[in-house]
Order: sequence, then C-alpha cells, then structure tokens
Amino acid sequence: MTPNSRPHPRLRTVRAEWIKTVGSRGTLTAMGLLATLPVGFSALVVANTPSTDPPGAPGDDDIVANTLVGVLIGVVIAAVVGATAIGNEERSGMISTSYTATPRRHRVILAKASVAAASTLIIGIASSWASYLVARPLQRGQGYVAPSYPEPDLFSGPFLRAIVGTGLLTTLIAVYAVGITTIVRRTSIAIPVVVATLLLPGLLATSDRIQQFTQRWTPFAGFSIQHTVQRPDYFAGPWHGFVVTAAYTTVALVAAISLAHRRDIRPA
Amino acid sequence: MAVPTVPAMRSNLPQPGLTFEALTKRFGTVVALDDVTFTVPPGTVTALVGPNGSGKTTSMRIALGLASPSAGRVLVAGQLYRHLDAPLTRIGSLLDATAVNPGLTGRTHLRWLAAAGGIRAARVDALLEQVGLGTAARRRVGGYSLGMKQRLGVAAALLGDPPILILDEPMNGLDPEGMVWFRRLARNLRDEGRAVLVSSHLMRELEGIADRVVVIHRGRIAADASIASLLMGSPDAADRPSLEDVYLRVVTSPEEVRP
Repeated sequence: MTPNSRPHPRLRTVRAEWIKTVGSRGTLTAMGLLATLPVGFSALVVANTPSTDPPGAPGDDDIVANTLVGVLIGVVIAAVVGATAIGNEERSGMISTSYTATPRRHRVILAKASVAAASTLIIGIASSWASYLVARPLQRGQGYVAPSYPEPDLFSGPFLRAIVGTGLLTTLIAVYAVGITTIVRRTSIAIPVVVATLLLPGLLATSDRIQQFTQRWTPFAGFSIQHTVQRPDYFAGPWHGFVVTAAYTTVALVAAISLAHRRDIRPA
Repeated sequence: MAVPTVPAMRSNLPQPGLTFEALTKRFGTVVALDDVTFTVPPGTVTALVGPNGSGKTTSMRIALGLASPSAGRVLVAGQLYRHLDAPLTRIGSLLDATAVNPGLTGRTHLRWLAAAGGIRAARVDALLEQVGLGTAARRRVGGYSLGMKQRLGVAAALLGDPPILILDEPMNGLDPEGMVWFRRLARNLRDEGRAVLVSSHLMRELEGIADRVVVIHRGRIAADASIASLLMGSPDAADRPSLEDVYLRVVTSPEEVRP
C-alpha cells in the first residue's frame, strides 16, 4: 500500500479511537447506562410529582422539560465517558503510545472528542426520546392532563428542540470532559470539576438575581435548551443557554490542546 | 576533469540511524541529561546502559517527541520525531510494556495502533503469532504476565516494520525462554540492517546481543565504545573481564572511554 492510498491521518486517528472505545468494556457499560438511567430517573421523578394546578386553570409547568429531568444523570454519565477517554490512558500510561503514533497531539484529543461526541449524541437523543415516552403517561397519572395541560405537539419546534437538544447537551458535556481531563490529567479530579461547574451554579442559586446570572452565563445555562414554554423563572432563551455551554466547552478544548502540545507527557 | 559529485551528495543525505546531539534536560534544578551525544547506526544493536535514574528513559522519551529537551536534539533518520510522516513506519518503540489500558485485548491494542499508524490490519495477527501471543491475543492485557506484556510491547514496536527501534528495558520480566527469544530477535533485527537501541540496567543481559555499549551515568555519557574495545581496554588484559566488571569500573570512575 502506498502512503497516498492510506486514509488521511486525521481519519486514521479517529478510527484508532473508535477501536479503543468499542474494545473496552468500561465505555460500553457507560453507553448502556446512558441509554437507561436517565429514562428511569425521569420516570421516578415524574411519577412522584403531582400537579398542583387547580383543574381547568391553564397550568404553567413545563411538562416536556419535566419528563427530561433524567438529563441530570445523563450529563454525569457523559462526563464519565469523556473523562475516561483521556483519563484511562493517562493512568495506564498508554497516552504516550497514542502520542507516539500521532505526534500532532491535537489530533488525538480531537479524535477522542469526536468519538465521545458521536456515541453520546446518538444514545443521548434516543435516551431523551425514551424518557419522554416513558414519563409522559406517568405524568398524566399525576394530573398533568388537558385542559390545563394539553398534549404537546410532537412535531412542534420547541418539543423537538427539547428532545434533540437534550442529546446535544449530553454531547457537549462529553466533549467538555475530554477538555477538562486533558488539562488536569486525572479522571478522579476531572469528573468532580465537570459536574461541579455544570450543576452547582443551578443548585446554589438562591435569589432570582443569582438564578438569572447562572442561567445566562455559567455552564449550567445549557439546560435551558429543554425549555418549551415561557416561565417567570426561565431567564435564558433555549439557544442562548446552549451556546454559552458550548462556549465553555470550546474554551476547555482549546486550552487542553494548547497545554497538551506544550508540556512533557509524563510516564504513568 | 571529474567532478566530485559523490561526496557532495553524500553529505546532503540524512543520517539513516538515530542521533542524539548534545542533549540536555533539566527538571527544575535537577539536571537529568547533561550534553548527551551518541549515535545508533544501522546494522548494530547499541546498548544504553546505566543505573536506575541515570537518564536512559528520559533520552528515549525525548527521541520520541514525548518530552522536549532543554538543549540539543535527537534526529530520527535526519528529522525531528514530530516532523516524521507515518512515524510508526520510521521508528518503533517500546517504553513501558505495562502502559496499556488493562481492559483492551492484546489484539485490540495492536489494531488501534495499526489504525493510527496507517498500517495494514493483517499485520496484527501475523505479529501476535511471531511474538508468541497467538493464543493470548483475545485475552485482556490486564491478565497478562509482565513477560507477555513485554512481548506485546515488542510487537507494537515492530508493527510498522521500522528501520529504527528503541526498546527500553525489553528484557524485564522475561522468563529464560523469553530471554532466548529476545536475543535471537535482536540479532535478527541487526542482521536485517536495522538500527536498534536497547536499554538495560543489567549489563549481563546485553552480553551476546550488543555490538556497542553506551554507558550513561548521572545524565552523562561515561563510555561509548564497541564491545570488543571495552573488553580490550581493561588494565589487566591477562584475564578477560566480563562486561559487568567493565561496566562497574566505568560507573565508579567515570572517565571517558572512546573506541
């Protein structure tokens, strides 16, 4: 085979990362969990949240977003998928072999990010669809029914944006975790960093003013992609929030690549 | 008049082997490598010998572009590692045989490496047989013995059929049968004209394999000579010293020994 007939080096690196992912039990387990746990969590929460709106009055709960609450588990699993893609190799020392095979280190990092993104995107979207389909009947049982809560139109823009956006958010977090783990080099540090920067702003916001800031300008903003209605406690537009989280992801990835090129690779 | 084109052309050719040029590496105030210069020419097995922590692994990691030198450089067939196109086909390396994700099978490990290096996947199974891992190929590396990991590491180094090889302590953990296997392999690689650099902290391991010995001690080259001249250079030529004796003499009184 002549060098010209080989695939481009960038594609070779992606293929190599794909072989690693498919060949290791850990990542396959994580994919299985990503497909099931968010669905179970959504079902559990929704089945225990009765409607408080008086019958007949138009309700203001975001019933679609409520069925997708399992994303809180989904992003944690996505963080694990992204973090282990780099972290496992840092721990075993195999990262040296990866960088020896591909001395242009950004290719290794981007290939890992691509494989983590592709797998979490497909499974993340499937998982959010399943969450809705499983949780919505349970939600009806809790009193979220017409006329207060008419059935969502499954082909409307906001509904599809919430379902697909939940998968996209999972993907962003997997890539964010690839970036953060490349920077800190250890899974055990990276996962808490990713989860804390992502979820803590939303949990700690006590006043409306802080809530407004966290929904607009922290990594937590991305969850607004799930919003399908207008509510007084929704402070960021769906795409605004998503783009903010995407920006944090980009910054993490760029910082990771620039660091990876400059520093010495440590033996395990 | 004859124009002397041949010498002029030859000087422009890249050096085919591996060249360490005035390599210095500092970690903070610690000087790990101090002006290390030596070459690994084709068709020889060059042994890099020194006590633990003497700088063997650090020089190899710099050669492979994994660490950057504070001064100097290493040229692989005349080029810096990071400028190599398809590096696995130019230089093969075994640094730390245990540095493999334990969840991968031996075969999967070689398959991803072949994919990354643009190497035919068919070579993977042939190599696994060649290094004696045919039956263990589909088992996870986490369950391999150190000797089996060394064999897998050697297979990874040979994957791209490279003309230059860097093997860091490849005999660690090999059983006697493995030792015999590796010695034969090293001699074959030399006879095929490859440039082979093998490190060890045990001089005895290298007897019968190495053509040249580079002794590194506290980050400096303490000796760089052919096996024959090292043994000849003994003060009491009456009884031939073992390599071990010569090595101990060199590292205890670090005077330069040159061929």
